[in-house]
Amino acid sequence: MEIKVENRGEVVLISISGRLDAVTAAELETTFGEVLDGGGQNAIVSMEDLEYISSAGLRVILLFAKKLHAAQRQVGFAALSGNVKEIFDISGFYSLFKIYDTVEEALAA
Amino acid sequence: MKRESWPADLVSLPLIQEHVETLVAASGIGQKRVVQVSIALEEVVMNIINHAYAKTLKGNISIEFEDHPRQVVIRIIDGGIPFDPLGVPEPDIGLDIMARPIGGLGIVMIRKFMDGVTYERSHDKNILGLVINKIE
Repeated sequence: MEIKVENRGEVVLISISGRLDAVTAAELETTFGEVLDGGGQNAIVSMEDLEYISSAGLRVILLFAKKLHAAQRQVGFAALSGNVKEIFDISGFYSLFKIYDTVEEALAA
Repeated sequence: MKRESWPADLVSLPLIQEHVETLVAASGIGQKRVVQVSIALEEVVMNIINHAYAKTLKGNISIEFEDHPRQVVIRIIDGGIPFDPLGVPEPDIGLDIMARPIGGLGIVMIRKFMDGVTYERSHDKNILGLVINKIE
């Protein structure tokens, strides 16, 4: 898994690619922790090149969203495809989060 | 039938997945389904590490693989305490963000992605079977 964090003015863009599994989830949790501590921006998580996500990854995402929510900050998810899109759907994440077709759309929202 | 074993540890997870992904792909199942099998497999392996072997901390995970004309069958076997993941209630996915529990989605994915799931306790072993149809 690769993680990239960019400041895009009012939002922080976190791009994750590869495999988000029980082994790599801890790494993402650390990155999310830094974003949580790093100021009051809203967050966009790009999943454009994410090909695999397990419940360990969903757990880290849900925890991050809860902590942002508690701090009156928001998180949106962008560019989901294939299995990742299906997993967000069956996990009920579509009714829980703002989900955008593309990163551009998410940044413009 | 092929059977191989690994220590029940997180470091074994990528090795078990690579082993099963290779066998499933060789059976003619497409890449998207191979990833789904791998995700279901992770959920099963993590349950074994976190629940079946939670107290003993030592043990093995064995994988049996059968390639049939219409389906493949994967059996994941451990010698831990009895643990049936199919008996764990699924989370309520209708709850709002703060009320949503952070766990329990693994079994949802196993059920969704697999064409059949079985659990059996036999000779002090947990035997979890995953069935994947070759023709959808």
